[in-house]
Amino acid sequence: MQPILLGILGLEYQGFMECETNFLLTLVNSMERGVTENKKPQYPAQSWWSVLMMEPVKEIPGIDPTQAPLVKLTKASLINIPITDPTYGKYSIRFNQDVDPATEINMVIKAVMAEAATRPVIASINALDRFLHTKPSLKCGIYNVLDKALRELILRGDLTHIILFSPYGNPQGPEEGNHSEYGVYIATIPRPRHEDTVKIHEIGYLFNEAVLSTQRAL
Amino acid sequence: MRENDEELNKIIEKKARELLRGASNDVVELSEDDFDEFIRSRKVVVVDFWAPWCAPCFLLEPIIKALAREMPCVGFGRLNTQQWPEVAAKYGVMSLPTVIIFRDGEPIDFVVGVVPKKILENKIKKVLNEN
Repeated sequence: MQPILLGILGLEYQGFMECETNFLLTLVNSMERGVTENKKPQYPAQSWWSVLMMEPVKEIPGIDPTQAPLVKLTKASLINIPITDPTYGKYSIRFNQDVDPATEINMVIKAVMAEAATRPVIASINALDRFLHTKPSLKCGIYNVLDKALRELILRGDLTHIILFSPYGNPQGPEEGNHSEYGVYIATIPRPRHEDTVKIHEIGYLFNEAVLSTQRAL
Repeated sequence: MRENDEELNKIIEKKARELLRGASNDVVELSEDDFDEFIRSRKVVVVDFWAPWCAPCFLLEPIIKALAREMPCVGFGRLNTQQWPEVAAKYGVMSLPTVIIFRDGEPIDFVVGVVPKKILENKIKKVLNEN
């Protein structure tokens, strides 16, 4: 498989313990791990544009997502990216509660596996952010579906590089833009500085490094 | 007169915070300024030394919160070592996360790394029972 950049809005390490997600806990102990940092207010579109533009973004750029530096550099396929509503890419849903978490998670993972057979993939899973602002009791149910789906993706034998990250942490209260400022970074690519958090706009550079590394190996 | 009012308001606010702390036994976010006072505020106090870049520190957080709910007679606090490195250095904290169990303001036991809840709970109970 080609390198995969998978962002999961709202994912945080505390949830791994609270919900006893065995596979994610194993990943923490077996892969490069770090913490992403993104100051409030955090919105899905601005956060993801920061990744794609490879620089901090406060205002949505008026360009086609395929023209974003990271997409041009890596020639990646985009899946369910919440920079538009409905989301942008091969799999696309409204950013509301119409689609249940398990359907979104399983469809994104299926699309990632299909696309990554031929080209790098940039994908997003948005279920935690879509549901936990108003229904926090669903947290462990969604974490357990994620745990199972990620096991299926990562335990495939043909993985080259993967960056699993969250643009911000758990939703806090009903207001959009209010989340924990610390998220997850679990990857095959080392984080830039040991005693520092990974800033959200740095994720693009790390993924480009993963793509270049795979190309060099071929 | 006005100065006295301000002073009085500060004392009332401080007492209110202390009462709220006692009622819910939340994990208190500590600073260099209130650290010494906090570790002497109860017979036994547990402090979790963490930093924002430390992923395992976030794994430990729910364990500390659960223990705080279950052990209301113990004080629980967290200190961001990136923000307050002098406090961490004073207690010889070399790796993160480190949990220090204090009795009467003195460090009695250390736990380095993420450990199962039961292990941390037993260590705290041991310090409590040594009274």
